Amino acid sequence: MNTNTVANDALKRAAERLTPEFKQEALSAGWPADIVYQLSVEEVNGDLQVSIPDEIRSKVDDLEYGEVNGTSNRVIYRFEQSHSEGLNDIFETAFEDVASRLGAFN
Amino acid sequence: MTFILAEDAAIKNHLSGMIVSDEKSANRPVKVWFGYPDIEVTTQTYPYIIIELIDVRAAKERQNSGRMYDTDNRGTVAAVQGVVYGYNMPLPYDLSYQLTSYSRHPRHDRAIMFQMQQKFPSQYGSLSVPNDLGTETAKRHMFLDGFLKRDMIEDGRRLFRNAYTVRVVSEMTPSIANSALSTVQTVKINRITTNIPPGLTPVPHLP
Repeated sequence: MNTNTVANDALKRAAERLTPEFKQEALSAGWPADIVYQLSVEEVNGDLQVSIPDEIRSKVDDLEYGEVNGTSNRVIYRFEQSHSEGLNDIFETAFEDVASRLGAFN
Repeated sequence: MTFILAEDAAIKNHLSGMIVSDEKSANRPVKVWFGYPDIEVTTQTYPYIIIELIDVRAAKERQNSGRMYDTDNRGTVAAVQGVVYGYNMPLPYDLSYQLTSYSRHPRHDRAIMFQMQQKFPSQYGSLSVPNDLGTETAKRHMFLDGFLKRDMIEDGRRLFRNAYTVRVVSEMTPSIANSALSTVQTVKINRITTNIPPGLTPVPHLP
């Protein structure tokens, strides 16, 4: 059994679960719906990230970092910060899952 | 100073004193503001840096429990011989700031980037935060969480922008945390108005 495979599966499930949560937070923060609906949380190289299509990256950057002389609205940063500890839980759970199946703690 | 105000002042102090140079001025100061100043002002005073507090996160992964003891109540009162203060462990927080630099001149931009990288290294950064009494200064861990170059053309002129995301570890002191957690039990209203300033008329009381 591959630990990475189990962890990646757990991350993908977490990404699916977190995508609507992220969209809700972005909408609540005032981001326009037509932009928010194109964003999703995805597993990338063993990490969870907010995926931004290239076509709207400039608009998302304007929203996130602020336009010239405008205030920032860091929805993606806050979301990733608030879920960084949750990722540790996912990895720990995945590791314990593999260890128990291997009988490592028996 | 208290939670957040102390870090705000410290980070502004950390940014102050930056200098850039060009063919017209060898020592052009880089101004620092909180939030966004009036546009008419900023157009006259490039380069500048804007500080924005973007996140306050309870860092539960760093929370400890227990009692702490010292003689100056966490640097808020002068120590008195024989007096010891005891309090619960403070609540850890992460304060995140976006620092955005603006300049019109590419040389200013590069000079600001160089100085910012010195002030905000990706690791081992620290922010000096003095205590209320000014008797001690703590060096807080500070991390560069992100950097984004956002140059653009504005009104036909180049505008060099850099957005730095910086995270400072902090803690809410027990006294503030206790007052934040306290619940109002009763509200007392004085129905009899006294000491009315001259020129004002009291509103008649309800029966």
